[in-house]
Amino acid sequence: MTRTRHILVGVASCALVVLSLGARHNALDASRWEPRLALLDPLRPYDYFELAEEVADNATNADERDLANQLFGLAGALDTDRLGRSALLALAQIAASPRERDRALAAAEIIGGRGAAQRVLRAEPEQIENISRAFSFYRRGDGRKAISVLKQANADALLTEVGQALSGGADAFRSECASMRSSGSAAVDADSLRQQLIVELALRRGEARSTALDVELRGDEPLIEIDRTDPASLWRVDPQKPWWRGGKWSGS
Amino acid sequence: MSSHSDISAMRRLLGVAANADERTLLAIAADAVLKSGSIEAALERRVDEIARHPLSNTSEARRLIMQLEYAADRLQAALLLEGKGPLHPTAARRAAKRVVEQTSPTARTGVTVIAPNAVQPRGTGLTAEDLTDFDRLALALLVVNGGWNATSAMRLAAAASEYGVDVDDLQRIVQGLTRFIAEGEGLRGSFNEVGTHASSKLLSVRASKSASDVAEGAVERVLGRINDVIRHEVNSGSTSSQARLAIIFGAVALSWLGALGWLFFSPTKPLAPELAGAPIVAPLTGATPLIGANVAAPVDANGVSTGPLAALAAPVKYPRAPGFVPAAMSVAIVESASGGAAWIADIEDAMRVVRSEKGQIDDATLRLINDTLARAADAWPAASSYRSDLLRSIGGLARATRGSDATRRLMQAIPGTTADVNRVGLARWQRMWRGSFGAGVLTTIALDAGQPPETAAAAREEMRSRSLPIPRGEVADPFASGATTVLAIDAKALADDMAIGVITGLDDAGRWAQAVEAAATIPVFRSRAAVSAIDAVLRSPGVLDRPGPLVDFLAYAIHMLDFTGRGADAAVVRASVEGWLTDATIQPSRLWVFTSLLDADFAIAWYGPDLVLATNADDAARRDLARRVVAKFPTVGSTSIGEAVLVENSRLVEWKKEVDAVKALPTADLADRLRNAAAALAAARLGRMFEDPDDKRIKDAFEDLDSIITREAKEWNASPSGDRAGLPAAGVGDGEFAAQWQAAGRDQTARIDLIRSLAARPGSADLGPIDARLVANEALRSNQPDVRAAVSSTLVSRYTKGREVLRAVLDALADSTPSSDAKELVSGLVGSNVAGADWLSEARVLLIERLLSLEDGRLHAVDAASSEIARMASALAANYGRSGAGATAGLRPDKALAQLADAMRTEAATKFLGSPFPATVEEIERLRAARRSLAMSATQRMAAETPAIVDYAATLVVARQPALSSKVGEILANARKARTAAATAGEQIETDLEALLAVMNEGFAPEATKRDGD
Repeated sequence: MTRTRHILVGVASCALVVLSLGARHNALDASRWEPRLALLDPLRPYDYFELAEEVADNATNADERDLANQLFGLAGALDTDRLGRSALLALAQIAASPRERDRALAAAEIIGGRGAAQRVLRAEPEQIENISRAFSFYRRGDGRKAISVLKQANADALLTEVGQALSGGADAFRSECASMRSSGSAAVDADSLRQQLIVELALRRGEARSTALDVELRGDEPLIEIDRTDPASLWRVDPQKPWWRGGKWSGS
Repeated sequence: MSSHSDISAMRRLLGVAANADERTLLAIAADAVLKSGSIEAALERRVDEIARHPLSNTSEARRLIMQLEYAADRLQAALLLEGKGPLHPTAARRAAKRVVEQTSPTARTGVTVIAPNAVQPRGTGLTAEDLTDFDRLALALLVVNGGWNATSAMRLAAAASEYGVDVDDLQRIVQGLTRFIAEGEGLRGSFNEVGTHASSKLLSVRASKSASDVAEGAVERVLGRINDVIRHEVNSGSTSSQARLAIIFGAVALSWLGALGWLFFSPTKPLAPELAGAPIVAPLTGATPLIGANVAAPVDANGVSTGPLAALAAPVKYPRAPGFVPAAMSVAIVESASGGAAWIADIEDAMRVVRSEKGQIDDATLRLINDTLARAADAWPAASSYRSDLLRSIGGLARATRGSDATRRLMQAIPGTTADVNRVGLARWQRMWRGSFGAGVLTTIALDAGQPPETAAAAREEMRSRSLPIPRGEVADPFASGATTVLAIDAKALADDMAIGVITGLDDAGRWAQAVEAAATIPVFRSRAAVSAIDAVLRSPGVLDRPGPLVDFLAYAIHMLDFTGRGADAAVVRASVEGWLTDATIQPSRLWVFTSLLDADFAIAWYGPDLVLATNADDAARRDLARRVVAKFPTVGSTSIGEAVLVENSRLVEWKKEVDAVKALPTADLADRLRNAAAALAAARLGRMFEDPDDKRIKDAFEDLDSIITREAKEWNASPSGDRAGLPAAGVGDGEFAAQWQAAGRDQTARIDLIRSLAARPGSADLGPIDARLVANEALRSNQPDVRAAVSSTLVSRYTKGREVLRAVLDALADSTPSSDAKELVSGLVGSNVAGADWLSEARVLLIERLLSLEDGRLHAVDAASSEIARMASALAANYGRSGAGATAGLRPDKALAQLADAMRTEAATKFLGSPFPATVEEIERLRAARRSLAMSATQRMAAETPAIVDYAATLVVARQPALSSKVGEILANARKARTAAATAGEQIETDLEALLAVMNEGFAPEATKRDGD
């Protein structure tokens, strides 16, 4: 028992040492940029951008990634016309989540894009045909056939893309198919049935689908909007505090 | 001339001499002031006098009354010709009645006009015998219609067309007749014969309905009489009766034969010339116009004309509305324009070389500059987004250039020199584009304060060598100023060449228009080009009253101008129109066409047919018309903060209530939000209508809005087909039929009997899932054709609304080999023919649509609301002058909103603001394009358009009332916040359109209460 206790205490001590060393290492990593940070001047916004790129390239922890975010944000806020779009595209590259990435890309488009991109759902006729047959087989209780046709013509990828329109998503549909016995009708609830019919019709109608079908297929998510008049929300930094003083951003 | 009995009757009944004049006949004092009403009162007194006379029932008395009426008519005509007030209703009725009575089928062929024989004209030296048929007809029309006015002009134009008299001749005839009447002794004696007979001649077709109405009773009476006679003869039974009957029927039979023979063998009349090919007014044939001077219009103490509306005329008619749409730019131009980035790169390369050479330009660099600018000059209207960058680069290059020689060489490299535009093989449009581009670039450099003085001086020198005017004072857009100056000059050359037939198409005019549209970022520049084009056309020698490129060019130029009175160029437009109308060097016939086109342009709602100048208008009439046009030219009411749209107070209050009602609508789901968006658009449409109020359209728009606001949820949810899903038969369990089917085995007869029993189930419109699956499978795959046919027949006859049956058929189609009868089965079930190679896909689509149509729900509500958005956005776009908008069939809501944004952009682009608000049109468009590229769903695509709509509305309001910028800016800021915080795209659309209403609301002000008579 005593031996065990000693072992536990030893492990805990080691863990503490490792954690404290790690923390020290992080602090060191963040502080290694201190001299460069202190030289930044809002009259030279490009310096912020260059440093941000360097920090982002060499970032080894969350603090440094956060610092890169702040530097890109300040660069964009200080000279939106010249650096805004580049800063946002850089922020998209180091975004922590897909949502953040989408937001940064949308902001880049709004700040300086010319609408070159076009986002449409592309589906090949064979993919649509196979998804439709999969839905029919599913409703008929023939799960194995449903899975089989989904594997043809890359229909499974399309199912993943439009899965949000089905209850439980594409994965739930696949697992239900897999768990289905080889014969016997599936107990499909009215909502699921309706969703499958709508997804099939929406896919077959293509870009000519009605608003209601489109909303069922693609949802009613808001168009990402950036309020350019609110730099704090756009850049997530305070452009009034562009000086690095005493380990934090300052207004003078 | 009065007969002897008439003279006796005058003496006996009225006690007046036979040669009494009209005043004596009607007992009107010689010095009494004549008025139409007083003449009628005198006539009535005379008629009463006759009626009280013992001889009142004699034919003499009736003839005398007619004489009195003729005398009254002559006096009325004299009054009308002098323009002294309107015709008394009784006199007008009498004239109309007379026209109808004298209308007869033979009037057109029997031209037996009795010429006035007592005419003693002083001025023209002509007698009534000198009048041609057409002169008499025209004279009659002038008299009957109360002188030269819109009605008589229209009728005269029609008559002229029939007689083959062209416009210029008609003008001379009318002038001559006017003088003939005014300066002669009048048309005593035979005036009425001329008037009524000739009028009936012209109006026989128009009056035929009235004449037949009058004749209806007479025909019935005659037929009744014939019937009585025949009946009498038949009843008498005598030999003579039989003989008379034989003669009557024989005559009838012969007359029928004669009629049939005439119908078959009579020569066919030549057809009227096709409108498209015929001139508006045919050449003169047989009519001798009378040449005379205009009658001086009487004026009141203020100098305002009180005479008949001498400036009125029927608008010119064309087979199609004049005007054109510039042809799309060729692929080569578009491709060249897409290389705009390369132009900029090349110029910047050249700039680097010039800098490295200390401001000198070597030959290679000059060639590079030459080539680059030539490419840009040939495509600049298609590359507007690159133009400003290119100009900036050229400015940089000019700044980098040093030394008078180098700067001169650079300026000469700018396209548009005489040598450049006169190169062989250059198309006309290229010359225009190159010249205007060069002028724009030179003006930009010349006016750029950042350029070294020697560079600016070199640019000015080059401009002078090209005979380009150098703008003075502050110029908002130097490129636009320079380019449109050249394009304005080009317009004159275009018009001249069209007039003399060198140009027969509209390609060059289209390119000219594209260049103007691309260059003129500020409305005054566009107006300058358009005014120049109109001026050139009006002064050119070409024909305008017939279809052709010249009149199309004129109509296009008119459409370019802003006649709303709200633009910065309103004063220029107003002054230009006034100038043309009063410019004696422009013929009235050309102004007739010009004013007719103004009348025909739907964008100029205030310009009516009463403002169309007559072809014979004299200077006074032209001045009068100019005065009336200027008076009618819209002006925007002023408030303490600028120019508000003045709205009648009660109407504004009602609109605000409706807006509040829109804001109070529930927002439970997407369908609700889209409905609210549609209602907001309907309210915005109403608001737009306030700027050009039309009571009927406003009333309709209010009704549209109410119908959206007050529509019940169940109406929105209702399936468009109105069908309801069928139910299975009561008391029959699912699977029973399947069990019986199994029991029947493969016995075909038993199976068919079972199917018959299925078809005979009372009240059955659907089956349970098990039975439905079995039946669908048998209908599609049974290997017994009779069974398959029987099942299919039963399904089509009984189960077209059965959800389970339809779904089972849909799922049965998933197997790879449906039978050949499947097409017919699906066609029967969905009520639409399914065919073609891709029939299986089509069948599935139709089956699913059928299934979804069998139930009400929010799916239908979303689509119904989307349709309303499309309808309202399209209607609003039409209100903003978007041609082609308004057709909503099949139009997606995002496309309709895009149409609306485009229409608003077009109007916003015509406004001039000292500082762009809320942003430049280019920036709003860039953001719009960026949002479009981010949109992935239908609602997001709508939400990508709505911010631009709000921004343009703000531009339009602030352009009128700059002082509102902070208030409108606040609304926009709140809208941005709401949009950023919105949880759905539907909410973004809704909040944006609410902001649109708030912005529009700021632009309205209640109109001051009008006093009576205002």
